[in-house]
Amino acid sequence: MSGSDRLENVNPQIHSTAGQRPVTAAELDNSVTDPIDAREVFDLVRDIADPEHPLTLEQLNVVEQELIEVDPAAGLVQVQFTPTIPHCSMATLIGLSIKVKLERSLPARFKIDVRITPGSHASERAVNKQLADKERVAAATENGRLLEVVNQCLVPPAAAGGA
Amino acid sequence: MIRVLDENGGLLNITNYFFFHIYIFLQIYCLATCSNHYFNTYNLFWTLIASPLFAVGSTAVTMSRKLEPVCSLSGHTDRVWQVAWDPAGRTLASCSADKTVRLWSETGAGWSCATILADGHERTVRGVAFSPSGRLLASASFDSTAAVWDREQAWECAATLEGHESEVKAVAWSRSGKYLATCSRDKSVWLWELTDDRELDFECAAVLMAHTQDVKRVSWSPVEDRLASCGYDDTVRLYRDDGDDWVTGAVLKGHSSTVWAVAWDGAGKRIASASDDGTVRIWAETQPPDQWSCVALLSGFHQRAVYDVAWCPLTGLLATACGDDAVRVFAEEPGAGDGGAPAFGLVASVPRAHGRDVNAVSWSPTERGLLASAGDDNLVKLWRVSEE
Amino acid sequence: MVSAGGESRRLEKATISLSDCLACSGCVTSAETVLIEQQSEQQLLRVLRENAALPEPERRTVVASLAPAAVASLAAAHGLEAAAAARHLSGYLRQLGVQFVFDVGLARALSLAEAEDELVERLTRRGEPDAAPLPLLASACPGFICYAEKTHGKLLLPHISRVRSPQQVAGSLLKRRWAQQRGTAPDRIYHVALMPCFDKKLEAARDDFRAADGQDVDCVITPIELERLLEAEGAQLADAAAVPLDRLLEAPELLVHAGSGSGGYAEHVLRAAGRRLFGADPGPVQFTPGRNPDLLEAELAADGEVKLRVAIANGFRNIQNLVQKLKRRRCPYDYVEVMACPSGCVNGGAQSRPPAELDARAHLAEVRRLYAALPGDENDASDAVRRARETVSKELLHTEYHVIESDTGALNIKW
Repeated sequence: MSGSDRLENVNPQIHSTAGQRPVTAAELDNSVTDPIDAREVFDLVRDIADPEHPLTLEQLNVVEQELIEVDPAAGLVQVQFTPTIPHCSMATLIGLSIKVKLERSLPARFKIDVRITPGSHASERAVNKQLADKERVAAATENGRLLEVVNQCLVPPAAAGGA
Repeated sequence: MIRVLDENGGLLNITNYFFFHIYIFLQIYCLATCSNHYFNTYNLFWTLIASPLFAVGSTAVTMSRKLEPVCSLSGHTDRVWQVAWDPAGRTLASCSADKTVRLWSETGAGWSCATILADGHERTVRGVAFSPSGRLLASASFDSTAAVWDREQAWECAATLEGHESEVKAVAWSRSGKYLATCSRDKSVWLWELTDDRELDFECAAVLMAHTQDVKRVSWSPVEDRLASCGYDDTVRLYRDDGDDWVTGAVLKGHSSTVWAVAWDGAGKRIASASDDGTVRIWAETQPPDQWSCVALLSGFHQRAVYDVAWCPLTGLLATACGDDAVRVFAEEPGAGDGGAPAFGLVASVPRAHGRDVNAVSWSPTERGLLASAGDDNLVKLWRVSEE
Repeated sequence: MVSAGGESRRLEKATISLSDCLACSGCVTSAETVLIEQQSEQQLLRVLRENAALPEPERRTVVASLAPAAVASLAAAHGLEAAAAARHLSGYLRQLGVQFVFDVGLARALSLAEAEDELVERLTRRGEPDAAPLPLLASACPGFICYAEKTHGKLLLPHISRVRSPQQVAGSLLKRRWAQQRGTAPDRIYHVALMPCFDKKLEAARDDFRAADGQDVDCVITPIELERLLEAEGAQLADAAAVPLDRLLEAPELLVHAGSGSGGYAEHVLRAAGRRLFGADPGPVQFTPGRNPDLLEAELAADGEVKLRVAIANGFRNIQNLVQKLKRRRCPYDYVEVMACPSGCVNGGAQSRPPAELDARAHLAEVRRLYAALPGDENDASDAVRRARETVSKELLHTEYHVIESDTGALNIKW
């Protein structure tokens, strides 16, 4: 929590988490092509840690499976995320973490759009514009200090995990 | 700003609308799923309103030319951001997130990498440009410097230009080679004057703070010392020397998101701008000095951000690089122009020109129809546009 | 207001954003923006109103110091000669409730004399271990100081003159020397300065210029703000009575210091150091334009060789070239008068806008003419300067600079 003395949202509401997805026989069978779906994308981002709380984006309801759209044929992944409070200054950082995680995990052919759930943030337009700017995202991921913060968010949460 | 008139001076042209909608549905099969945010109501509104401006009838749908692949150049180990030709058309430079610049040239066996410039930058090399003489190559890097490489010293890094506070995004030489323009995330455009071309000394001739956000690209007029820049504040801005200092002239407003690139036509009369809003706009100086208007809007063709636009001085063709992986070529409609608004039609496109986003396009300055492109797939590609 | 057609239309409020007026807008933090906004013409009016409402013995003494560049700008905008404009300003400020109106001429003469000593010392000790480096860079421009501290602290700060700017020397003189002379406690004095740029507000608010009993300069206002006051009253500057300025420590009114539109630092030190070190005062200095009209160079030759090189570097581009020369240890000058605004202080960011009928260039030429035609003769001030230097401690004329690291914490990195 370097650089910030006070939590902006002192008492965030904690939501129950989805269970682990059962592994299907088809997934274990390497001969079956397995198109990426919303659940798979959700599994990639649900455990990203909030930069301020020892909680996951799923526990804070920042990401939800229902707000993820995947079009495997067109190669499009769209993730909407919902900051816990409308003035959350961490919104761009959370969005960046989601974007970096997906860029690292999904096949290169996918276009990844990470946006704020409409109406959930005061600077929605500005945050969306910044997250859609691939050049700024690229420069951000070359910034050692910023990348360190993002990587911390991407480390799987400790077993205690605040749950 | 945009005069919505067709050639007969009428406001609406039903035929055009009809073809236009057919075109949209053919081109954008995913429209129904609403999965592409570039087709929001705003853009749809403008495409409908402005459609009479660009002939979207038969010309746009029947591709009258072909974009044939010439070769694919691999070597970069990360995304390629830009490509630039030397004035002789014999060397092609490309720059990449792998922190290098590669120089490609044609030998008996085809195009290949002749030189790798690897020791100039500590971070992504975002832009490259050859000086008009072809002797110097400038590069722009996220390490907040620009570098100048000298052909006469076996492409040694001969000068490093420091001053920007954050990522340098583009470099451009003026037509005489006297000035080098750089632009940055720090919102400024800098003009460097080459004060000694033996020692390669540069002095800062101006720091232009007109933009309110990061500046993505700079581009000099091919006929006079006039500079255009564009950026994250959705505008294009023009600058000129007033004798004592460089001053800001026109501000071109119209795009609804980041303007990624600007390109002058061969005569220095018009400017094309490519934007994150998925459109290309054509601007002309309707009332010199510095009264510019948008005279054409190329909308409905690109499915994602347009990252680059290049205007061929030999053929007048416009090429675009797009985040939807496609390279497209547009031609100006003959006939339009005498007082009326120019119209541009799509004459060739390669939907999957690259395996990922296409970041750059550049026309050969010497060979008609030879086009270079670069993409997030780490590749540089050459294409040839067939004559009509 | 009512236009010729009888149609009423609201006067467009002259809005200024910081970026219009700050030479250093690129690096001003939000905390500094607050410091700047706390000093405004409205703030001044409030203080004057509250002061007037107090019973006589509890009232503070309100004093004003006028910068000659600001006077020249207002004079040009109102079609007045500089001395007349200063007297109308004096009358206007008194009308608002200011009791004493000085100009910063004497303070500037002190700054110049101190800068001269500093340069002579650096030149004399050149080459010695621990000697302070050359070139010496003028410290009067707060835009340059702000940029230097934030962007090139380690490189530039050792070169920057320790001498306070005329504004801050005026603060020292008024709140210490003059206050003592009058038997008034410094915290019973409210000091407002009229300055050609917004960055002067930042300078006034520096911790280095704060004593236990308050800031040396309490509020800086600018010609733009003064125009707003006049406009709100529908008044012209010439409507106010012409009242002679008060004379600080018997110094003559409105001293002129030739050589530039920013106080003539380069010319003063070149002539003085030439006289003191080489027995050669070249007389009025001819500056030669460098690569652009905002870079001016001059040198002093004695015994057939160049002994001293000075320059005036105005505007951000020339600051950049200076920085690059220093970085590469290829700076040929002994002294540089550095000002962040193109053309220097006469063209300060918060100066009056040109009247409608004049283009910016012609207006600036007029401001320069008026500035150079101020009535006070430097030579007539030598006694006042000597007396002031004898009675004011060096500490009150010198200051320190601080490297400012831009550490905002990883969570707040702008990308």
